[in-house]
Amino acid sequence: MLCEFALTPQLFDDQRNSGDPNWKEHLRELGRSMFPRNAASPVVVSDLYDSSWQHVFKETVEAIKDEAAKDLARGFLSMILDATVMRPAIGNWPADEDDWAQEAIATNGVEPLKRIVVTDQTYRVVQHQGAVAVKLSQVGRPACWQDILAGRSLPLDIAVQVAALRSMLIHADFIALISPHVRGERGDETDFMVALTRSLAKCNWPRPNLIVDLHVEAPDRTAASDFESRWKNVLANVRTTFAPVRPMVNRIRVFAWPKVLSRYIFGGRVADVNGAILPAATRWAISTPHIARTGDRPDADAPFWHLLPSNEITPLHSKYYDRTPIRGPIDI
Amino acid sequence: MITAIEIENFKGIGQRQRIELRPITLLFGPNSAGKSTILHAMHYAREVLDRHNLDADRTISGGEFVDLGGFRAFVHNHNLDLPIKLAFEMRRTDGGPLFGQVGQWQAYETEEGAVAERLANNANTCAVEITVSWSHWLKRPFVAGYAVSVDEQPLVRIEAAPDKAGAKLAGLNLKHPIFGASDENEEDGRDDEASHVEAIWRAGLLENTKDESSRVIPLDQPDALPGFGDEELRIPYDELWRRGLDSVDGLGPMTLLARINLLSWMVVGPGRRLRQELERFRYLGPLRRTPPRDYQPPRFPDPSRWACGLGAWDRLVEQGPEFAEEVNKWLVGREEMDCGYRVNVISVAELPSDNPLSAALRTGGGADLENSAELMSRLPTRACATLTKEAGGIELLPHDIGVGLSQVIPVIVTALDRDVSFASVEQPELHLHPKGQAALGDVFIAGALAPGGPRNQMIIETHSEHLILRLVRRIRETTRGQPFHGTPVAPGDLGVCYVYSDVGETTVIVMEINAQGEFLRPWPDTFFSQDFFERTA
Repeated sequence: MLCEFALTPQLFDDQRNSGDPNWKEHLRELGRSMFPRNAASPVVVSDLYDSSWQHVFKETVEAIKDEAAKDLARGFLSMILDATVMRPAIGNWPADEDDWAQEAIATNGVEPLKRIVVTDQTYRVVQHQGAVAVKLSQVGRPACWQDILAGRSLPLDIAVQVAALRSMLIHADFIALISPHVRGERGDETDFMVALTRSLAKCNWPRPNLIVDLHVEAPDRTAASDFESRWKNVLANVRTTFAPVRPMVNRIRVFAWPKVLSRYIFGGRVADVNGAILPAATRWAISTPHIARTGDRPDADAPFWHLLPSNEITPLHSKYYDRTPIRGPIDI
Repeated sequence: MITAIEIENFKGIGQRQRIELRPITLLFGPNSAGKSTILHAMHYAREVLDRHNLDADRTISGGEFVDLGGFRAFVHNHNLDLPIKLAFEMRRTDGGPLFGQVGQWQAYETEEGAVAERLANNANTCAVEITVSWSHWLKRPFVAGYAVSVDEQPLVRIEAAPDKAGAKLAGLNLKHPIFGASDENEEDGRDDEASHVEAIWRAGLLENTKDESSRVIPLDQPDALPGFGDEELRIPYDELWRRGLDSVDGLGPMTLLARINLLSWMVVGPGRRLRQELERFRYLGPLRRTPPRDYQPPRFPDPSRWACGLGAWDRLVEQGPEFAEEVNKWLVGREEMDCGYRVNVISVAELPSDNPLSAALRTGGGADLENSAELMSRLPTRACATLTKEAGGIELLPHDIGVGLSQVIPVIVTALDRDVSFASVEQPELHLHPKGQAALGDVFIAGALAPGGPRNQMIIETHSEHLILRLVRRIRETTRGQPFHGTPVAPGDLGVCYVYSDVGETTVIVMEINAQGEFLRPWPDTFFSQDFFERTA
């Protein structure tokens, strides 16, 4: 699923890369693979050292003397800025590329990264990190992109599925599950969401918010006289199932929709909306036909999970956050 | 100003879509996704309200660019069983009343006047929803519904049947705050305005059947409403007198008439206000025509000429040199378009070759030349627009300059014209250099937001990355305390709607922007990343 890369700002330094005649081509290869044209980008980029990285990155790009390279790097800059995720500072202020590489290694120890990409000169600093370490001249090799896919099959095992999502959702301020099978009942998909919430609540750096939204299918026959009591039962069951993780997060909310046909998992950012901190935008979304339940056989056919491209994410977010549900949002 | 439009079952839009209109609203999205549908809905609403033209093809404001093709063509999926619903939300913006005065009765210090006062001066928003359906009986569209909400609460609703049996008052919310009524009042039995309106309602003066749910509403000035049968809506004065006005709960005839007028005004006022807003709606189509060499503005303004751009040239010439200088600030300013040409409005006297003055000029003297002033005053004159190239001072006609410039002048005129108030422009960036496209953002800011400016509300259909980037930059600069030309731009001043087609259904997403000029949600397509993909391919 989504992977996190750390790049040193000096990858974009034309002076530092002056000895590499293929420097611009390597950058193009990196860009093509990180941000494919017709698919979801499988990569987020670490904004190292409390988001200081992006400022150094911008300065490095603006200092490029070769105009063609600068245009290329500016395009990269705009794409990367939309894909950054904050990483807290660990070491001393990184004064050069070796220091940025060391900072990336340190943060990799806190929460694993998928790749640390450096110039060939700095590779010696990171090479003991194994497959995580990549030098710029290697980014065209298929091995560099192995396991970095916008979709993969995941076994019906709650722990495995939660682990696959953690690298993506650990940076989210809100997460949401859209599923027809969340009732707070034994054996439905509520257990998965509880496990995911528990995993994400254990963040290795301070995080101000985590809102968990459940978009569920309302009980049928909404006009029936017993609809309200059936809906209250759903809420009570969900409340009970989420009780162990409720203190770990800011809010858990339930939305009821008339018909939920697909399963999606969202992660995104929040914003102040009329004085309340609420989900503002979904950054990442996964579509999947099956979510693991307690009691599933892990050797059953593994469903394919795929990361949605941006052109599908915003309309989906709008569908669940701009329209009025039958009931909710209700805090539990 | 109109602050939102809601559209249902119109062209590609099936499910109700809401489009919030800000001082500047940009419509983005792929080709043929339905951006123009939003503008077409406004043309149609104007036709319905202004000309009662329910089966519209050509429209008065769409000129030669908009041909709706009639109800069968523009009802969603060509399904004649679907009702088209168009709702417009309006907000008081200038401190004046939300609705204008309708009758002298309002001036009296009566209870009815107090209700009218509250409605006109205290209400902040109102919404008018028009429903047009197809009558299989009459084989033509008819207005099936007209509803008014004030301050987001329903006030009154009229409905009509497809067999032209007359429009009926289908709902009157007597608990609306404008009546000053509350549940407590009702329990106390207090004699408030609501109870008086209810008295009229219950007295039977409004009914033509025993069925309480189908009562004819008598209205003064029903022509302000969209195409209901006027006869059914007119106040039946004769009937009122015949039945004896003083028989209703002891009310005097003048009081009763005033109350019927009030009821009438509550229905008519919002529709009239909307019609006025739409009458000032100017539409500049996607391909602007260049004035011909023998161009002469028409003696009477023709709103349909705006669609092809000639209306803007007419307006430029009509307003004269002072306005041309305002336009020039944007054409030649170094921080603006910097295009190197100025526009001039000049008066030309046409001198026929057989005129005595002409002969005198040829011969270099004579009595006729001495009387030149008088002879000149008799010559026919006409105003026209020319352009001067800044480098060299050569004077040219619009046909002699680059296409981009002739396309953009009508856009600037529309934005800056103080007689417009509400305008839509399709593809303002057509044929423009990126610098000019970005500068258009500042033109729209000047037209919509500049203190002392025309305060025109602009709806822009565009594909220009440079235009949107300039606008969000101005938001960012405002946040930093550095507004360009002293005009602050807040995130709420700019509305960005992304329009796309989802399985044949046009859908609108509002892309909110923060104070840093950033979109809160990821852009739904590769609009901003196209450059990157081209460079890394």
